[in-house]
Parts: sequence; C-alpha cells; structure tokens
Amino acid sequence: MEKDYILQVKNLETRFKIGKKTVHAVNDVSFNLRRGTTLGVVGESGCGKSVTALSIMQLLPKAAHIEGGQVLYTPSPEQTLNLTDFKRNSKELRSIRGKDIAMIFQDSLSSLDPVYSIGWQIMENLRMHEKLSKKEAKEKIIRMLGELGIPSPEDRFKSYPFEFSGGMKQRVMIAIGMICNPNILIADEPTTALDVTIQAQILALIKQMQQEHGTSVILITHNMGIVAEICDEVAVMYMGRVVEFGSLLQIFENPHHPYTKALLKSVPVLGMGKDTELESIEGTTPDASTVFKGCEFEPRCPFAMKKCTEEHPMVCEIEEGHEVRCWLYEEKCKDDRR
Amino acid sequence: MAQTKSGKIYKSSLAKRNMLKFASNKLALVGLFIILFFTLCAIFAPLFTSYDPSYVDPKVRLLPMSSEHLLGTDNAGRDTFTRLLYGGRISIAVGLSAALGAALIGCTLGSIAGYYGGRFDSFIIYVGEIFTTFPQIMLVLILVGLSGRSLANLILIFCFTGWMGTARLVRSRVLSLKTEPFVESCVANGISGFSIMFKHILPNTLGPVIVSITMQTAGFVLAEAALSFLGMGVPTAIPTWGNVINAASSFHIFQNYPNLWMAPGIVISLFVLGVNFFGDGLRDVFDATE
Repeated sequence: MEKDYILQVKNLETRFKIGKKTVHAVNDVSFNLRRGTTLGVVGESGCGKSVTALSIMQLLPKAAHIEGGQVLYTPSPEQTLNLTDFKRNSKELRSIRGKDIAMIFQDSLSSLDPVYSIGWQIMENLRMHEKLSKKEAKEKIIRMLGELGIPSPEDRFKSYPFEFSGGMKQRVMIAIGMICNPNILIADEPTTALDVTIQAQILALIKQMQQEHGTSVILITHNMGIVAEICDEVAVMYMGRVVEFGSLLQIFENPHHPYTKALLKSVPVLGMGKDTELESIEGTTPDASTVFKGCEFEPRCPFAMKKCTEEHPMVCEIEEGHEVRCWLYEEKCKDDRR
Repeated sequence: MAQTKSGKIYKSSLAKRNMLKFASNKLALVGLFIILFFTLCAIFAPLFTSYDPSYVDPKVRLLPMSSEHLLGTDNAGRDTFTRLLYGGRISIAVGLSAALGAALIGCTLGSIAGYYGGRFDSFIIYVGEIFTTFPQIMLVLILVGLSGRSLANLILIFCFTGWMGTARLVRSRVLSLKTEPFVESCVANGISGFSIMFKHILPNTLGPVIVSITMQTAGFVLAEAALSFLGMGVPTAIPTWGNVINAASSFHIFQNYPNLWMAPGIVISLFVLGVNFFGDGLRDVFDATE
C-alpha cells in the first residue's frame, strides 16, 4: 500500500521569521499523493496552501524555513528520497525541480521571461534536464504545443510572450511544466488569473495531460467547484493545518469537520432554492502569527467545547482513508494514531 | 493574433515596431546621421586625404586654410584636416570601447549585487560611492599620473572610473526584476542562480544600459579631448581630436590661428551632440510608458 504513494508529506512544519515574530505558516501537515491521481488542497487565502506546495520543493522565500517533517518522494519502488534532506538550492534538488516535480504558478501573465521566445523558454527547460539535440527538442516542443491546443505551433514557437493572451500563456506554462514528463505536477491556483471559460479549458488540459502521461497532480485552489471537477482526493486546510483529508466523495458527501461543512455550505450550487441563503462562516480568520493552545477553528466553531480551547485535537481516521482533526469525533475514532 | 487570409499568422515584430518609433524621432535620426557621418569619415580617411597625419614638415608650418590644406597646418606642419579625419578613429574608438568596458563591469557587479544582495551588495555600493565622491576627471588625472600615458591605459582608466552609474542602474533593475513571477518559475524549473541572473534577469535590463552606453560614449570622447588637450591623455604622437586641439594650446597660436582649435572643437561638439540625440531617441524607444 505504501508503495502506491509517490509523495508523502509527513508532519511538515514551515515557519516564517518576520522580525522577532515567528509565523507558523504550516503546522504538522501530512498527506499522501497516490500515483496518477489528483490531490486538491483547498482552504481560504493565507491558510498555508501555497507555502505547503513551495515547501515540497523548498522554493520558499528567504524568511521562511522548514522546521521539521519529511517530504518523501518515491520515483520508483526501489527509491525513496527525502526532499527536506537537501539544501535549498542544491544540485540534487535543482535536478528534481522541473524534471521530476514541475510547478505551475498562479500568475501566468508574468511567469514568462519577456525577452525570449516561448520556444526558447520551453527548450531551455527541456534541454537542461534531458539530452536531446536542438532539432529533436524542437519537434517535441511543437508536438506538445499542438497537444495543448495552441494553433499553428510551428509559427508560435518563435513568438514572444507579449504576443500571447493570458490563457495561451498559461498553456505555455503547462508546456514548460509538462515537457520533461514530470512525475508530479504542482499547480498553484493555475486558473485564478483567467476568466471562467478559459479556466475550464485549462483544467481540462491539465486533466488530459495527466491521463496521457500518468502524472500525479497536486492542485491548490480555493475554488470548491474546481475541486469537485477534477480531484480524486481532497485535503482541507485551515490556519496551516490539514483539518480534513479524504476522497472526493468522502469530503463532499460526508464532511465531518465543522470547517469543511461550513465551507461547503457557503458555496452556491446550481439548482439550489431561490430563497436559500448562502451561509457564511462567523468571524474572521485570526492573525497568522497567533499561537493556539487548542484548535485553531475553535473561536469560529459552532460546536466548540471546553476541550477545544485546551488541547490540540488529534487526527482521527473515521473511515478508511478519511481523516479528521476534531475533538467531536474522539469516540468514533477507530484507533489513535497519535 | 491577426490571421492573414492564407492562414499564416501575421508576426508583429518588436524590432520593427521599435525601428518605426525611432524613425519618427527627427532629432534621433539627425544624431544617427551625424554619428554615421563622422564614423565613416574616420574609417575611410585615406579616401579623403593624401597626407600622413603624423608627417612633420617644418616647411609648411602654420599655413592658413587653402585648397591644398583644407584646414591649414599646425605648428609642426601637419595637415589639420587629415589629423581630424584620422583622429576620429582613435577618439571614437576610445569613447566606445571605454563605454562598453565600463558597462561590462557595471553590469556584472550590478547584477551580482542586486541578485545576491547581502554583504557583497553593500560592499559594491560603498565602493561605487567612494568612486563617485571624487570628480571623475581628478581621479582619471591621478591614475594617468600613476600609470603613465598610453592609449590602453587611458581606456582602462575610463572603464575603471566609469562603471558606477551602470552598476547602480542594473542593480536597481535587478532588485525589482528578481521578484517577478518569471524568476520564481525559473527557480521552480531547476535553473541555476547563475543562469537566472545572467540569462534571464540581465537581458531584461539591457534597454537602459544601451542608452547609458551611448551617453557614456559621448562623455568619454569629451574626457579624452580634455585630457589630451591638457597633455595628460593619449600620447601626442597619436592623432586624436584632443591632440588636434592640443596643437593650439599656446596662447600665440590660439589667438592668431583660430582654424587650429575651432575645427576640432566643432567636430567634437557636433559628434557629442549627435550621440546625445541618438541616446535620447533610444531612451524613448526603450521606455515602455511612452
């Protein structure tokens, strides 16, 4: 069973040092990514989704560091690497970035270098990680651009980023990410800067790429609709912690954590009654530097108990593969894992 | 994405657009014309004159302007027109190579300082600050005094004392560029810091650097002329614009033979003016906000 995971994040802790303050951006985050599936990481802004993703490849800003935990990457059954063992910009890590684990960023509009043609930029990534002649590389790139639905790819190969629209640029970004056929693609809100019709196209493309190349995808988003559309498993994050983890069905049909429940209720659904009011979550997200003795969601939680303020809730596995971090399910817990 | 009827994509070329923008600036065109004119005259000097610029002929000292000697001859009997033509070669070469050298130093130091920051950054900024504290001409004079007069020395000294502006320019551009998302995605693709710095960030700063190279060329041409006039620049045997004026450094000649200093003076002023017009035109082209 363990062999089936291509990426395991275990008890990851990432801290930001801002002056004398320490911000606990990621706390004790654990999740597993199954080979060939899509994991959605959802949560509101500032809950640590992006920092988690950046921590995997150690792309963190200078003020941040990984305090503890492991990121186990298993490219083949015989080999497992702990990515947190490597130094931040070490050769080993650089050879994994872009080749084994690729990343697509939110801001596609300025994620391309304005002074080089897009073909040059895809070529740079491809030829750095794979030994190919220029001609072979060019053929491969043109094929990839065609697959991604860029019209007349031979001509567009020489075009510069300013000649592309936002959606086309994001396609190019996907091409740069996918050209080396990575094992894992991390997409950090890939559609946030795009309008809704293009969003759907880009998501379909990511899905298509995944099916064709067998890539595992981590999709970071705050959009529940996107999650429902393309994810197999979902991790819900709040204040730097994974509060609920499970398969798509488990999360959407049978949410357990009060935060997940509230989140799902606050999303409009097609066909809902005219007079049904969308619910909102009471209160606001606390400051990120606040250190909680108990559960982070307790101040906004309608089911808060005395225990919630005193102790961190533990992770309960209430079903096979469905984990919740909440005191409400203490008794339902099959076996204490921690 | 304008598509022509044949189905081929019409390519809007950035270079073409910039060229049109440049061509619409009349002053810049005048500048370009002046630069080209003087440069071509210098390169093809033997076509315009049959004299040797360094040939001393005591029999024809201080002749006035005539059809034989278009701008007369100097104190040593050398043809001034010929010396101006040949002088352009050295003067323009000194100005341009010094500006390129200074830009090279400035770009390297500036991008390293901006990209890596920290101690190296403050070190470079402090050194640059110390250099800019001295008036450049003083510094150059001191260094010429220490190293002796020669063409190579002069170019090196110009490079050594002229890199600070470019370094600052590049550093500040790098500081803002390195937070751009494209740099982040370069890192995420496993590109090394060195490659990111010189292959991705530096080319994005080149627009303003090219403008500063042209401006510095003008500055160095002037500086060379001034130094040579003072007898501290290029050795007098080599004809340069400054050395041509140097022939009129005695008061007697200055008063009685204005052709000896006016002609080179006009040539230098015109050339510098042309370069500055050209640089202004380039600045407008590279300035995206216009």
